[in-house]
Amino acid sequence: MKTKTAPVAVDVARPRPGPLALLAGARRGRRKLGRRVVPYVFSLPFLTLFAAFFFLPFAYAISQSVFKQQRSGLGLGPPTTIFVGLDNYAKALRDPQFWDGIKRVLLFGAVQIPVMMLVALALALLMDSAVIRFRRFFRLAFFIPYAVPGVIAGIMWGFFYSPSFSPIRQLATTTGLPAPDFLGPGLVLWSIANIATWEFTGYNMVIFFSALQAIPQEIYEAGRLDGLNEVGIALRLKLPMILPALVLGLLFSLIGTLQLFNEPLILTRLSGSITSHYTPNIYAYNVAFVDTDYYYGGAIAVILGLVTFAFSFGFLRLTRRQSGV
Amino acid sequence: MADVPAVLEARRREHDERERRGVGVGVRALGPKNLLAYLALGAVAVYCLTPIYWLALSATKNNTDLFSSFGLWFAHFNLWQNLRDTLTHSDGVYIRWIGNTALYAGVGAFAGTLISVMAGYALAKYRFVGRGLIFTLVLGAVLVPQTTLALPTYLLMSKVSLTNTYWAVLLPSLLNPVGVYLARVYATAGVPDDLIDAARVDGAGEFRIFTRVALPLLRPGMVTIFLFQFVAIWNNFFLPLVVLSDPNLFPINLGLATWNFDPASHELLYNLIVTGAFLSVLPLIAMFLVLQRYWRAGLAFGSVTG
Amino acid sequence: MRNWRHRASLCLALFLGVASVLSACSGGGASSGGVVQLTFWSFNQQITEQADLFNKSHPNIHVTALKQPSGPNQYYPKVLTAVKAGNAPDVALIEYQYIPTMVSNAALVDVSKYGANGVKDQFVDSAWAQVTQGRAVYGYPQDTGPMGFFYNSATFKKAGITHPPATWDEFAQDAVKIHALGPNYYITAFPPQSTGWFQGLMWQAGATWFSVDTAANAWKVSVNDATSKKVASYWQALVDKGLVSTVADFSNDWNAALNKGTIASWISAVWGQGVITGSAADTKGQWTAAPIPQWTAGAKTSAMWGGSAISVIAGTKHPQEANEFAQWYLTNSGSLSIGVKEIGWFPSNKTAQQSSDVNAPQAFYGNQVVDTVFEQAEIPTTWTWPPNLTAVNQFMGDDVNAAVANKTPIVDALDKLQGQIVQDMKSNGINVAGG
Repeated sequence: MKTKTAPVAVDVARPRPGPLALLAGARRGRRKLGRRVVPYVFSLPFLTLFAAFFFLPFAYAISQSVFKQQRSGLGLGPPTTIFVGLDNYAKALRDPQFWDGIKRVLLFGAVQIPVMMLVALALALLMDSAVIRFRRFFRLAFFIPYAVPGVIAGIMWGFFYSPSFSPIRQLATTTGLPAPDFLGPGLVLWSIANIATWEFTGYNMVIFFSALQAIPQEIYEAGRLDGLNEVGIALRLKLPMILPALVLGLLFSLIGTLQLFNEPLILTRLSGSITSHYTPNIYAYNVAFVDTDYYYGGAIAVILGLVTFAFSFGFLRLTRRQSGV
Repeated sequence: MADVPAVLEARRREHDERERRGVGVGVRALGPKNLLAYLALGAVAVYCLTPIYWLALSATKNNTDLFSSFGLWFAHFNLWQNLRDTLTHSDGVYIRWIGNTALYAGVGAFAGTLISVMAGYALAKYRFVGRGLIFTLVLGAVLVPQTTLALPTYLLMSKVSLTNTYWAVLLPSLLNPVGVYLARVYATAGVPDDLIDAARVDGAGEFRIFTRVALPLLRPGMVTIFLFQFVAIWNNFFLPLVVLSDPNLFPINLGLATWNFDPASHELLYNLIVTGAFLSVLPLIAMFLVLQRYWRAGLAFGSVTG
Repeated sequence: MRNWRHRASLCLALFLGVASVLSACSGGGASSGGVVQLTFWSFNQQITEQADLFNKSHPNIHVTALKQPSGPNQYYPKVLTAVKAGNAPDVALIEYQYIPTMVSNAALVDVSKYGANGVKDQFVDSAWAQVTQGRAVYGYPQDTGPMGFFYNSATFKKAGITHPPATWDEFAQDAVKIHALGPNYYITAFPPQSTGWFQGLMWQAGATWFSVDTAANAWKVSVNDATSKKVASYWQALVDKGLVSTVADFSNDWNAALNKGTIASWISAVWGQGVITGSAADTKGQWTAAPIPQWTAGAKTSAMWGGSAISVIAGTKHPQEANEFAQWYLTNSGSLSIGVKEIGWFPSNKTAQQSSDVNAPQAFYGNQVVDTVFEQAEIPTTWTWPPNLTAVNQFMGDDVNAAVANKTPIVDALDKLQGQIVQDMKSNGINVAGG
């Protein structure tokens, strides 16, 4: 039941063997060879891009990460580059600023991902089973934030959070409530979480909803015959059916969280609480690009890549049985 | 084989119809029972749309009103002036940014989708040595942060004098491992093996099979891949930030960020930033509206366990 | 390893061969038809006008001016990265404080070998000193950034203050009066992320954060000396009492508050006059410039915040022509006039400094001749910039921000900063005295 409509296409489109088929035998040898080469030809553009823009840069980052720039005297002469082996990696693993960032994104993910996923899932289930009118409107409304680039969203929410523009604070002051300091040290992480939630809840919801819509109706009939109520159907039948979509959604959220970059970078100008090592990605950027230590920055980036890989790979292994991804 | 698009059209119509009728464990009308559901969805819709509403409203205000008037209602209506200023500031660079963004995202997503679908189709439909390896590479590329690679990519690109050109943004944007992954899922599910075999028996070459049989069947999936890649390129900030230095090559978001961050420019550009941001969101919304029947079908594909 | 890297880039070159051939057609090539192509980076939009002027009178050289975003942590990293990558601009604007950092990354060309000293006399001595290091000359001084005090006289008057504070004591008293106007009223902002600004205040108080111990061939770092702690404690008191705002300078909120008159002053450099004109457009006619408040009554001590040089960047294929442009840029009357009138330079070129453009009364400042206020400033010459300023500023931004955000003492942040800077220098192999 991969796709219930595919067989229809087969029935309609299956061609009858024609006279060409008879001729084909003579060319079989050549075509066999062709068939062996063709997949490589099809994959070649991708593999070329992969080599040029993934493999080479990654290898280059690794090759840089075992060097270090060395100055001498007053440091005003041109620096020399020396080989330091794995020193940069050892330094990163002991670097409290790096771990500070890792801890922060893990905390961020532990709160933001479940909240976003539960809301998205609840909305999708509600829309699938209880809401018939305005579906198009709701789906578009939820999806629009996804179409807003992260940087634009950051600028926009920056206005929303900043004391002199914020309509929320304006509302709070007029009603006499204490105006929240969205950019203060206590709240700023959750202000960023809100931006991420705003951007991606609708996206996940639409994916879940589409998956729900693809479930064949006969299953529900069977469920109802078994005496399940709507909640039961949602939890016992629908949820397991859309597990692959859930797993993919979770996976992308996890990767996105570990790579958190644009939103805090844009808010840096507005909030003193966002340090140069606020997230590991911002730290890698600052070390490599601002402090121009490409070598140490490379090591941090490689570790971050491995951590992300480990997390997501582990997650995939963990869920493989259920999800079939 | 000319029937394939027609079949797809029928399938889509059925899908739309089902959705309109709301076949499900549905309750067919508004009632107290699902009022709560409507309230919940309505609340989230307000949450999603309020910032957009604020943005649209703010695009009609001048700088002074942006600071001083209530954010969720109109002040002096200054939209036309803002539009004029946004489009003419710095010799009309904003118009160039729109063009650049359309080029990066449009061409990048179109070519990138084709490349992804070719690779995904090969992975799904051929057994060949190295297939497992390629698939592992794809997964690995999905899982490693792209920002990690921007700086080394830049350093390597400068060795072949590619930085600060359109290619510097366009070429890396073509790589879309997620697209390959999705294309493989779509091809596995959506292009039946016996259809391909039949075409072979009919004497069609492998390329012909790909273009005439597989591509039409994969169209909804391709629209989905195209849209996601389009949004991803449109969204990409870090890569252009690193590889471009000529403002005439900037995409919109990088351009707006430089307006936002520029203390040396000696003028306040908030009304232009807000208006520019608002304008930049419109084409994406329009595209989602136009293509929505396609990508919805694409999203459903392959996201259900078999 | 070198070999490997070479091969890696060769692979990329092969993969992208077609693309780069195409890009050579669209991008700016090195030279075409005997005309030398140069690229010039700066923060200001108007540089294209200056380049056009140059190109008209120099048929053999064509300069492409590219305005770069000046945002924090964007411009210098970009220049340095471009140098490393081998595609840096030929000429670029470099603020004085970053010259040692640039030099320590081998990013600047010593233009003394192209006859820079021949035009030395056309520039103010103190500015020329900013671009020289021993015998080397690392560019031409464009403008300087002596600090002063811009205040909104309307808000000051409302608070019953008739003259600008001459000393920091008076400033603290005025702060109380202005905050009495309302909870949103502040005499000024203490922007915790603004490193160059705070360094300027330290400099003005007589601190010398960085100096060279020539005998030991080592840097002496004194970020947490008594003078610096005095300045930190002074601002700490104002912050603790809520008398100053702590919004970031140049931020949305800061601009909004200047424009409303609720942040009533800005301790800034001479180039700040143009910023206020843009940020606080609605308060036209209310602003006045005055000397920076003093620690000792009657003194005229100031400091520098910013000020820039035009330098030739390492890796240029045409150093001769690049130098020609850099020199022309700051000695040609047409270029200087654009710089002074449109960009707002306080020029280091003597002739330009005497011109009527500089000494013109300004309507925005109630027809005050703003620049004369800054001409009398006396700036201590002991302050030196370190070769690792990007790192210093990153530490400093984090530490002072954290102190203000978490309400911990700023003097403790200075102690922490001292340790971080010494550690960073040492780990880079730079000699530090007594550390």
